Amino acid sequence: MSEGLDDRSLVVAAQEGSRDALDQLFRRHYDRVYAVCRRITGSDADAADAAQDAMILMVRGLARFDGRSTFATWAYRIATNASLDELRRRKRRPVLHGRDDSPHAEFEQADPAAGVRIDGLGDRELLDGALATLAEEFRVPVVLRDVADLDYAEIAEVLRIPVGTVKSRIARGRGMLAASLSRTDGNRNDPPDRPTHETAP
Amino acid sequence: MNDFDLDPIHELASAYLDGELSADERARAEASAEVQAAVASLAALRTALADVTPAKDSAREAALAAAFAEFDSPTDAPVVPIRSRRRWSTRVMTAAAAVVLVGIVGVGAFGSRGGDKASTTGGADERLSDMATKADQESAGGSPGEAPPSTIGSVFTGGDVAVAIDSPEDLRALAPPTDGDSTYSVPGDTLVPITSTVEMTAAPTAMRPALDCLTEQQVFLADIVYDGQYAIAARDTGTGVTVAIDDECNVLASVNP
Repeated sequence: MSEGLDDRSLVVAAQEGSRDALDQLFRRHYDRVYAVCRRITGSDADAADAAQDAMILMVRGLARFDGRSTFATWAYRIATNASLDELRRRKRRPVLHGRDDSPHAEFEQADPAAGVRIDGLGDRELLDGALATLAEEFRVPVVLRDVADLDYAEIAEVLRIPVGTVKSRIARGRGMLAASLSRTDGNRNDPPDRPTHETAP
Repeated sequence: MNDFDLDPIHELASAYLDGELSADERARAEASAEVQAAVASLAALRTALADVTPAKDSAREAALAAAFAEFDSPTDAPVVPIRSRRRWSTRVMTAAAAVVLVGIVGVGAFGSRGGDKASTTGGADERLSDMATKADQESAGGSPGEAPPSTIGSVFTGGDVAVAIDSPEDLRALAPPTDGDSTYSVPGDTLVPITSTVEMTAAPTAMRPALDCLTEQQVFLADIVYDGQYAIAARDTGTGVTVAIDDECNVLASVNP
């Protein structure tokens, strides 16, 4: 029986052909894999597709998994790539704040000393919208940190970028998210006929 | 690349939240009310980000079923059908003829999957389409007007394939022979005759980002999955070197002719 075994043991058993071990392993990690996909893709359907693709790719690559990284790190790398591929397939490109030269693209700097509350956190749609506007290079590291709970070194391994870059992108990504949420939440209170950044064509 | 100016307080707070500060930096952060306020804000953001509604049971079970279908029916076939990832325009189909051909021939050469007697993509698609229909019926639909959630049936769509590559040697096997014979070799050293001429053209301007990484001398060979990563295989027409390149232009593998 494979009940209660750690990931490493389950991986070895699955590599040796144990269906039960694979079942344990995948059920243990599916929810978080899905959560990573959900935050990267921004939609339930795309996340389900990406998570499914990721599971299949994990099976195909399982024989080559050598344990240098944790199974979770390896799984999230596959899930990240599957999610990004899903985004490209569906041609869903987030608005790249900072790359938009229009006069409405000003990014309000979040004032870290303004208080302990970031507006808009209780609204899932607002959070989805704010994430969607975050460029992938920032969104993915933030998701891997705050959703997958990987540390900087693991994220660096997943994304194949330096640890310093991970640190910088996470800090920037969080900052942009906070600013976007605060700005969006403020705009929600505007009269409907007043154009806002989010509603501008 | 991004003109968002990172406030030093915010940067310190972010690293503090993640436990990635030195002892001195941590002491400095803990002594600052501004940093601690920022930490609290970011902690709330993290909580919100992590609060993802779990997938529907049907989606989870469909994913696991697809994974077990792969696990239970390991194939020697190098071809791995995946969900359609592009719209097949006439130009793309002409330029990517090698990909489709290798896929169809590969499946035929290496037999059925999962005991399916129909050792063609068509037979596999029928089985998976039935599973997709069932999965769609079981899952709650999206909002009116939306397409039903993609499930198993959308993962495997005949005609759009990627080759599973396990080693640089397998990568070399994708390269067309230089002796002029109209054959493609596939992993496993099985020469498979082809019936149509495949033109080696410049990489088409299709949707695969990795195509933008190719030089003028490199030609696209196939969509591949290398070490669990989507990538493309390309061959340098001058040197004969075959490479696997991912969407960020990283060369995952390289093999001489």
